[in-house]
Amino acid sequence: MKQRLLAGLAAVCLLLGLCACGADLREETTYAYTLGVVLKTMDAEHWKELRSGMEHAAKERGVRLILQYPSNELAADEQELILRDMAMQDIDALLFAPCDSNSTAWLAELAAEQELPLFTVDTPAADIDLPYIGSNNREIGRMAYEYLLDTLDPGSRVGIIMGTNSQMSLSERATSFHFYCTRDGLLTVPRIISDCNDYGDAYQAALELIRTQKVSAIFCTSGVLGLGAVSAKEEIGRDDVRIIAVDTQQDALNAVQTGRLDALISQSGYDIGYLSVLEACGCLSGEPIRERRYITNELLTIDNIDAFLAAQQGGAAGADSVQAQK
Amino acid sequence: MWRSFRFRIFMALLLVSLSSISLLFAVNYRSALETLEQNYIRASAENIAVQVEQIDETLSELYRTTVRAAADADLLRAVDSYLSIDRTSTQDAIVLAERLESLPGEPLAAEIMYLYLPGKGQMICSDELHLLRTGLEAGHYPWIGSSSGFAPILFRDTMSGSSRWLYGYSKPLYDETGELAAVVCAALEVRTLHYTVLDRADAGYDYYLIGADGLISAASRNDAVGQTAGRAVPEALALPDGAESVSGAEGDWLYSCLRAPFSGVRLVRLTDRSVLRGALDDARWQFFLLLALILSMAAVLAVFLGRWLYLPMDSLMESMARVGGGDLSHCPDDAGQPVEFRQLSRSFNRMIDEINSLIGTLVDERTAKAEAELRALEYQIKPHFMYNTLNSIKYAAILQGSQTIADQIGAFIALLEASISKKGAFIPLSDETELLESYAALQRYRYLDCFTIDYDLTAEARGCYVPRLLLQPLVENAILHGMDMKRSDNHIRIAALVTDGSLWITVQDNGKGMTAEQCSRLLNARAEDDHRQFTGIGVANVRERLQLHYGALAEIKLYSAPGKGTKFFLCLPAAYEAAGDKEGQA
Repeated sequence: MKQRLLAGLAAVCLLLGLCACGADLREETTYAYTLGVVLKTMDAEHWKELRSGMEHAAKERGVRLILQYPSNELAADEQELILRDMAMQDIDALLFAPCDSNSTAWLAELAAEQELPLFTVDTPAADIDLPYIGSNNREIGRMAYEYLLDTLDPGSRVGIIMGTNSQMSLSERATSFHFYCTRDGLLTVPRIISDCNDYGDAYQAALELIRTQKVSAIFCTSGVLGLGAVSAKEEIGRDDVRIIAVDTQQDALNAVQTGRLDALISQSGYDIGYLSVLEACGCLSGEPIRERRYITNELLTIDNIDAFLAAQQGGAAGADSVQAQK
Repeated sequence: MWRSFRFRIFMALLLVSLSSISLLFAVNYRSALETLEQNYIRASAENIAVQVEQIDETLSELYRTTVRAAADADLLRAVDSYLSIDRTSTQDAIVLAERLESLPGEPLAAEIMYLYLPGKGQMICSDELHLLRTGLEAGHYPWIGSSSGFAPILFRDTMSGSSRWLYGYSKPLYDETGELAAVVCAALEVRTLHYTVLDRADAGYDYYLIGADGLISAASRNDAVGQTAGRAVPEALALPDGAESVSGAEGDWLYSCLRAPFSGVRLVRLTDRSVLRGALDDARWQFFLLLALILSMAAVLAVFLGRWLYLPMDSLMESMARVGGGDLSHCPDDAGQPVEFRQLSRSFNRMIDEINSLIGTLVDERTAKAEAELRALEYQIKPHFMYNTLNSIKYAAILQGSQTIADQIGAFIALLEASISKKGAFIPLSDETELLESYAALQRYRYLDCFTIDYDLTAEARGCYVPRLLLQPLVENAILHGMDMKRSDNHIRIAALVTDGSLWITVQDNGKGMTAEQCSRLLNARAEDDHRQFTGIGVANVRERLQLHYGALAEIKLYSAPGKGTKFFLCLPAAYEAAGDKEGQA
């Protein structure tokens, strides 16, 4: 009887003891890598999307991002200061979208001193060969050329409105487009207006091209510039002038959907950001560095814009295109 | 009451219920506490993640403001212009300060902008009340002389006349020759973070904002600001290498700590476990009170229910007590009782009926016995009358000279007296032989002296007590069944002796003898209703009486064969006293 009583007490004590053994509440979060990211700015939808893609990939891969950017895309001096500070941080790799593609060699040297892998994102470097993740800008120029070739009569005059020359992504698109026009001689490019950095610049440039250069179409290297050009042709009642631009920002997509903008070559900032982080992680984990990683660019017109938007709203557009790349 | 079965059941149920509820509560309380703490830690970690994000974004904007200022060509030109003035006036400083505050682009994230001009030893500040400061000493502004990177510098603007703590980022401005022209610093008060991000009216926790340099820049306890983290924050909260956040429990504290990715500042939140447990402890006391109340009510209810349940038992116990007290006429009423108690009551009633029946039988038997004794007394009168009458006849025969008739009557009287005497069941063997002689005298007269009996008894055997009329049936059997009445040499021999405490008796005749079957029937069958018999007691009766009185100590054996006579052989314990039927045994 006594033994049974003791056994019962022991069982109760064991049960209470088990209850008393509290769960370990300690949790630690560590990151696989820390990536320094310096973008051009954060004042446009494209860059917000790019940041979103990066953060999404970083969360998936357990990577910490330290992200900075200057006040605008042209603030190369600010970006240099930021890049210098970023290079001094305890980071595993540095991804940046140069405001000035012609001034990156100094950073490459600094990164080499720090043994810091360096990647360009969205905009390639011009003065030195660095790994690049973004659109195939030459291909974009070719796509724009082929679209206008299909829709215009041979020998039509086509104008080009591009952003700053210091950003290689923009200059490459314009150069590529101009190259194909000149090579085939089917389309004539009477003038290239560069250093257009905003809507207003593009508006003025489009007025100039339509009125004085008598162009039948204009190729704009970004969506904002395209919308400025659209505004200009609408104001002077030249709906026959075809406008094609590059971007995936919402207002440009809406313009295609309503027929104001004739064509848009997509460039998903989300895909670029997502792919950039994957590429950097791959490099840090020992995979070979690829010189170029391109996202998928798609020609959007009023014929396929609805399907594109539907896919985008379904959340699959960005991921699908990135997966397709992989 | 305390030792009653009902009280024990009640206490056992109460104990089991209380133990079960207490154990269940203990387990649940522990589990609830862990869940509560886990959820709190998670919520706390998520909460400070949002706070850290806000702080980091604020500091990030502050950093970018510094960068904007450092890269602003107009500001650099304004600095060059100011420096080129030999004797600057307050108005010149105001112009420069306005330029400092009107950087192009977005509104400044800084609350205050500083511009240190090493060439003039001046500090121009966007704070109008303390616009121009001179006589700077080393240590007044730790950001002078160093570019801060992403980690903000914590400093106190002592020259403004206040002791406020500020976070600032600084950048050098170089002129065209590459010489240091100025150092610009964008700063904001740490208390701004406190009020906009950290402080919560219903917080109930302590927090510490710790810079990358380990100094506490903001805290729920003002006296901790400016101290190194190790003095105010437990060692356990030091983030391990590579860890960005840590949360858990340590001693009396629940903690969450997260490092901001950009600025490197750490936000630590400490919550006193007792505060968190307070609500649960209150609930615990409420539970105990509720438990006590419920148990009290349950106890009262149990008492009433117990009484109700025990009503049939009480009724049965009362009935048993009455019956036990002698009232056998009482029967418990089983109407309306539960099945079990109805069965018990019925069984009890049947038991009482059985007892009553047995008592009735006993009373009847006693009555019958008493009546039999009365009748026996009545019968005793008649033998005396018969003795007296026979004695009168006997003496009349003597007076008339008929001695033979007198002897016959005397023998008959002796036999009659022995057969119905109440004096005892045991008599000495000598008396038994006298009875045999009386019987033999009567039978010799009847059968014309055709047999003789001789006795060979030792003196010791003569004194032994034997059951009365033990030998008479054997002699009677020899006379009635063994004798050939046509012969005159019929002889019966009775011998007795005592050996080793046993009395050995033989009754032997030289008559016709018996077959084995006859012998068996004689020993086992009841006595035949032979009108020739004297007592009606058979040989089997002799055997039964020997067994009854002596058990295995006595035996009777019969040896006989046709034409060779019959011999009874008896062995029984030798007894010399006859105080009673049983006392006569050895």
